[in-house]
Amino acid sequence: MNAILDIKGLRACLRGRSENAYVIDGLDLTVQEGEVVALVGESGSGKSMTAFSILQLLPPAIHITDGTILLGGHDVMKMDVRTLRQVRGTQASIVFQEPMTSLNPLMTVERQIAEMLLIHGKATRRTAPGKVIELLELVRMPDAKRRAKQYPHNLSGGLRQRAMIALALACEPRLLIADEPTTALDVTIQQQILKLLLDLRDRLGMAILLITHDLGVVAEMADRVAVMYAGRIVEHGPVVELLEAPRHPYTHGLLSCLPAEHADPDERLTEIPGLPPQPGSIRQGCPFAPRCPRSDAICTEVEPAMTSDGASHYKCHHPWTAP
Amino acid sequence: MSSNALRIGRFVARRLVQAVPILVGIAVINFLFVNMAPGDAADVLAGEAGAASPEFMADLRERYGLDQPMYVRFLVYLGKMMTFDLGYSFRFSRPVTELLLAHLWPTLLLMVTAILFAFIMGIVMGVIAARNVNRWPDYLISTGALIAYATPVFWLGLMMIVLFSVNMGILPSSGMETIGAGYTGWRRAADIGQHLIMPALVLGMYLTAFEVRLMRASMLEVGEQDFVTTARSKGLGENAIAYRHVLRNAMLPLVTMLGLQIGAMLGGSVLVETVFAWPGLGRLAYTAVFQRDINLLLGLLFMCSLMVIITNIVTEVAYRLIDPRISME
Ligand SMILES: Nc1ncnc2c1ncn2[C@@H]1O[C@H](COP(=O)(O)OP(=O)(O)O)[C@@H](O)[C@H]1O
Ligand code: SF4
Ligand SMILES: [Mg+2]
Repeated sequence: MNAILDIKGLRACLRGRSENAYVIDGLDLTVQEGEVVALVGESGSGKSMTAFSILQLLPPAIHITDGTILLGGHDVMKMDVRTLRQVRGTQASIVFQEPMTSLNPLMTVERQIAEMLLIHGKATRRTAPGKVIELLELVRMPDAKRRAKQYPHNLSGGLRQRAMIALALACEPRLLIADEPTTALDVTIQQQILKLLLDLRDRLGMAILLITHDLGVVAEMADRVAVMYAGRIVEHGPVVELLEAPRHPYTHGLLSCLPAEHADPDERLTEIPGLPPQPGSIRQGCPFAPRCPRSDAICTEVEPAMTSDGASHYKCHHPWTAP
Repeated sequence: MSSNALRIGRFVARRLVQAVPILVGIAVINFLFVNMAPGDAADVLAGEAGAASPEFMADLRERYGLDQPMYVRFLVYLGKMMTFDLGYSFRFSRPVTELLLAHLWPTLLLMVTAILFAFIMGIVMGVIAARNVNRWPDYLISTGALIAYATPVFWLGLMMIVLFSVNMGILPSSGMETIGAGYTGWRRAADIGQHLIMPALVLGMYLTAFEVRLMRASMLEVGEQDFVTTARSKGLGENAIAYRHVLRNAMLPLVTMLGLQIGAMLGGSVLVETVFAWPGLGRLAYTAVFQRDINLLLGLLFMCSLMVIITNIVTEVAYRLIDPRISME
C-alpha cells in the first residue's frame, strides 16, 4: 500500500505569542490509499489545524515551523502557489465542520460546485451544470435539479453538508478530509451523512481522514485511529485493538467516559477531569501528566517517545497493559 | 426573469403604499414646525418693502389665507398636497411645484454624481486597502480617508474654489453652466460636467471617506469567514477569492449605509449648493428659510421626505437583488 498522506514531525506555531506556543507539536500521521483514518481528541487539541495544514489553509496567525507533509508523495510545503492550487481539490479536499457558514451565501449551490470543476478543467461551462447534478445525485441530494439552483440558506444543515461533500468530491480527490462533518447536525442526519461517506469510500475508493471527537463514530467508520492530545498523536493503531485495548491513559479515559448507550450526542468528551493544556503551556514531560491518574515523577520530567507493541503505538511511560 | 421583475414591481408598490401614512405624518410635523416660528410671510414682504400700512398687511394676509386659524390652513395644505398642489410662492411669484421641479434636476444630478463617486471610490479604495492591509497602500488610503472624514465641507469647498478657480483658473467656481454661452447637445453636457466636478467632489467627500473605511473593514471581516477558506480549498486564486467571493458579501453593509446617508447628504447639499451657487433644491431651501417663504419651505420638506423614501426603497431593492437571503415578499 502507498501512503496518500504522510506527515512527519509537524510543528505549527501561533504567531505573536511566546515562541513556544505550538498548536501542533511534533505530529506524525499517515493515511494509506483507500483507508479511513479517524483523528480523535478533545476540542482544542489541534485536529482542525492539522487538517488545514495539509492543504496549507492555516489562518494567518498560525504558521508551520518544522516537518514535512507529503501529499501523494509531494511535499505541500515546498509547492509554489500554482502547484498548491492545483493540488487543492484534486489530491485532497476538505469538508468543514460548519455547514451553515462554509458555503458562500450569495452563490447558488450549482455555481459553487461548477466553479470547482471549471478551475480544474473537469468541465466546460456547457457541461458543468449536468456534472453538478450528477454530483448532487451521487451524494443523494433529494430533488437535485431544483436544489442545484438554490442558495445555501434554502437548504437544511444536512443538505448543505451533502452539497459540501459533493463539492469536495467534484474533482475526485484521493483523500477526503472530513473535519467533524456531523458535529453541527442532529443525530439521525449524522448517521445518514456518515453512512454516505462510507458508501462513497467504497464506490470511489478514496481515503478518508475523519476528524471527530465521537468514539462511537470511530468504531463504525474507521480502519485505523489516531488519538491526538496537545498537538501531537499520543496513540494510534487499528480500530479494534485501540478501542478494545487502549494503552495510553488518555485513550483509556476517552473510552471509559463514553456513555454505554451513546444516546446523548450533546454530551461531549469532557468527563476526563481537568482541561487540555493551552498551546505553549507545556515546557517538559508528558503533556497529559497533570490530568493522568498514572503519572509519576518521570512523567513530568521526560516526554515519552512513541513505543510500538504489536499493532499498538503509544507515547507513555506507564501504559495500560495489553490483555 | 419577468417574474423577477414582477416581484420587484410588487415590492416597490407595497413599499409606496406603506409610505403614505409616513408622508402624512411628515406633513403634520413640517407644518407645525414651520408655523411655530414667529412672523409670517406678510411680515417679511412688508419688512422688505420698508414700511407697510396695517391695511396692506391685512390685505396680504387675507389674499394668501394667512388670517385663517392654523388647523384650517393645515387641512387646506394637506388636501392640496395630495394632488401635488403645493401652493404659491410669494417670493418667486411662481407655483411651488413648478419651482421644485425646476430645481430638482440640478440637485439630483449633483447628488447622484456624488453618491456614485462615493460608492465606486469606496469600493475601489476599500478593496485596495484591504488587500494590502498594513502595507503602504493601506496606510495611504486609510490616512487619506481619515483626513477627508475630518475636513469641514464648507472649508473644503472654499479652498477648492481658491485653488482651482481663482489660482489655476481651470474649473468654474459657480453655477451649473456657462450663462449666455448657448451651448447645446454634447457641448452643453461637457460644460455642465465641468461645473459639476467641484460641488460633487465636495458633497461626496464625507460619504466617500465613510464608505472607504466601511468597505475596508467589511472586506477584512468577510475575508475571515469560513466560506472563504472553502473557496481557497477549492484551488481558487487569491484574486478570484477576493472578487468573486469576498467582494459581493462585503458590499452588503455599504448598500445599507448608503440608504441611511442620503438624508445627511440632503443637508450637505444646502451648504454645497450655496457655496457653489448651484441652482438646486438646497439653495432654494436656503432662500426659502431666510425669506419665510412658508409654502415653498413646506414643499421642500415634503419633497425631501419623498426623496428619502424613494432612495430607501431603491436601496432595499438593490440589497434584495444582491442578497438572496432577504426575500422580496
Ligand atoms: N484562527 C486561529 N487563530 C489563533 N489560534 C487558533 C485559531 N484557530 C485555532 N486556534 C488555536 O489552535 C489550537 C487548536 O485548535 P483546533 O485545531 O481548532 O482544535 P480542534 O479542531 O482539535 O478542536 C487551539 O488552542 C486554538 O485556540
Ligand atoms: S507518560 Fe505518564 S503522565 Fe503521560 S500518559 Fe503515560 S502515565 Fe500518564
Ligand atoms: Mg476543530
